[in-house]
Amino acid sequence: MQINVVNHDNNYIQDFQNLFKDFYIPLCIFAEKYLDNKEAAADIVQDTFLKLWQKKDDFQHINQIKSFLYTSIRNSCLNELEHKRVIENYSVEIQTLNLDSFFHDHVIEEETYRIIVEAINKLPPQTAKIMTLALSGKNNKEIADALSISEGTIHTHKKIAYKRLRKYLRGYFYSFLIVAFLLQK
Amino acid sequence: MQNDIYAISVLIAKFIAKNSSVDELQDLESWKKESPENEILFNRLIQPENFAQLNLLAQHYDKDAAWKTVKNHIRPKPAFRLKPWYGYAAAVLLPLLLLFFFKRHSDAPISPVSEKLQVNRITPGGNKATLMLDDGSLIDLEDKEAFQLEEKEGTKIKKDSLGLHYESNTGNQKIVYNQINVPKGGEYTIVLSDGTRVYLNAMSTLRYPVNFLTDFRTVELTGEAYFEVKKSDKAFIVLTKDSKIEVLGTSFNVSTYPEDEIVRTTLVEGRVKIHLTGENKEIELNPSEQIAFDRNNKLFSVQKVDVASYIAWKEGLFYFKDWRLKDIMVYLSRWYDFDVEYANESIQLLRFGGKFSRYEEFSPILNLLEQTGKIKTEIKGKTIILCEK
Repeated sequence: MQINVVNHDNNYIQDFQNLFKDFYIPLCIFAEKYLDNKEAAADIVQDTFLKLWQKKDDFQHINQIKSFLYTSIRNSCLNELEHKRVIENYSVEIQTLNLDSFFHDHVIEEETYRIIVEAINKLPPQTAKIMTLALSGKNNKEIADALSISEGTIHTHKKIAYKRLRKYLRGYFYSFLIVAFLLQK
Repeated sequence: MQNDIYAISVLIAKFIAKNSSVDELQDLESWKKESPENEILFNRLIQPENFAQLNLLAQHYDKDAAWKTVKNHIRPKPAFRLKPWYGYAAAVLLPLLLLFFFKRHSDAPISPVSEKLQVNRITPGGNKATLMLDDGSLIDLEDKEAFQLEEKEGTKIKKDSLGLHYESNTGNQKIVYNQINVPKGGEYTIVLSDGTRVYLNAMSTLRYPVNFLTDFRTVELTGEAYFEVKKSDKAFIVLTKDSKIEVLGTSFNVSTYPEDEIVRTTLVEGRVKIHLTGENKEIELNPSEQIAFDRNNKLFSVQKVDVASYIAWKEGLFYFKDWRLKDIMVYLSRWYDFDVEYANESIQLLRFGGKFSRYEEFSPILNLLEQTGKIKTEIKGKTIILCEK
């Protein structure tokens, strides 16, 4: 357990900003799965980050923070839906949304997406665009047409990109080794 | 429960980025097999359409604007105890789940008497092996007596407390083969006629010519061995069921047990070239690299590793770095000679780490496993029964 007392407020805000920039969109997408409403999703995510800031001293490890974020957002979303149901007589099918498996599957979906996007964002802009299109299922010709560059260039960019992604994703290797703990579902 | 979600996400992300090692592919398969929902989820997430759809949803959100709003609400606070979040990948260890369950202390816990009586039947291994000469005759190498004998073409073989030594005898032109067999609970060291030292682990066999008379120094291995190859103009070749490893002068570990799904060769220093049976390519390893080959799926990966954990056995240690319980038990059972049964399937996949002497009695190890709070152990004669706590 590493405990580090940092003296400069700026560092905290910087760390918090980095965290925010990485997690904000995946969490909004996650909330949207529950609420089916983009504005409401964004509001809940913002509020949750503010709550996180209040509680930041409680956390020692990034996985605790992730758990807090995803769980709080789920709970807020379910509360909101219940509120709508009771007050506004808004009928919504929340049986599925209440399930642990729904939560579990969508955390995995959003986290997987977040990890890939985080790694892609470390690539130079042109390469990042190419990789995003490639992972979205576009073939080299389609990417070349979309970005007005040659197919040969695409190929080269992709080779470099996969190599770099390998390096960026390697850090996660340790995280997995140390915390992997497969339970019966 | 939270942590396996994050681990799985990493595995799937690496899969999509075409960056999974052989171990990671195996772990993904285990997870997929756990339930049909997992398999369905996996198949959905690896579709490019899924990534495309998430990107589309992402377009609607403005993280910079959102950050501005959040930032305005935050008032800077001084005392913050978390190390920069972005060090998490390699630096921070989660105490709850870091299961380093044993560091050798001289006051290891003593098991209750009745258990001890039973566990005494499970003892650590030692120097044990059988030598088979070219004519098929067998010589037991276990007892402490030093001796010297001659193979039929005149090569002298010396045995002492350190192991077997072959004296070089290139005068003779006849190629003659010997074979060393190390049983369960055994280990043995032999020095071949060229000066190459081979440490053999439990349940291993090495077949080799008594003198290296051809253009190559070729030996055959099953099981696990650590080689310290003497430099020479003749390449040293280790043949295993799945590969041909070519060396010039170097130290490396080969783990190739027939019952293992993944076999590994780890290079400590020097350079080796590996030719996988049935593949067209040759793979060169650099120091601290390991090639892992999945026999079932015929896939391999090369990774930099902490070599210490793979060669610890030859230093007389067990050093598991985050191994699955079932792999730990298979490994220990070769040395301590026991059988293992699992009351629940799932505990086999729990991961543990530990470092301890392999000449240690077995009961302290079981105690420490229990102390992690995850496993209950029971001993019936030579069988260990493990169940979920």
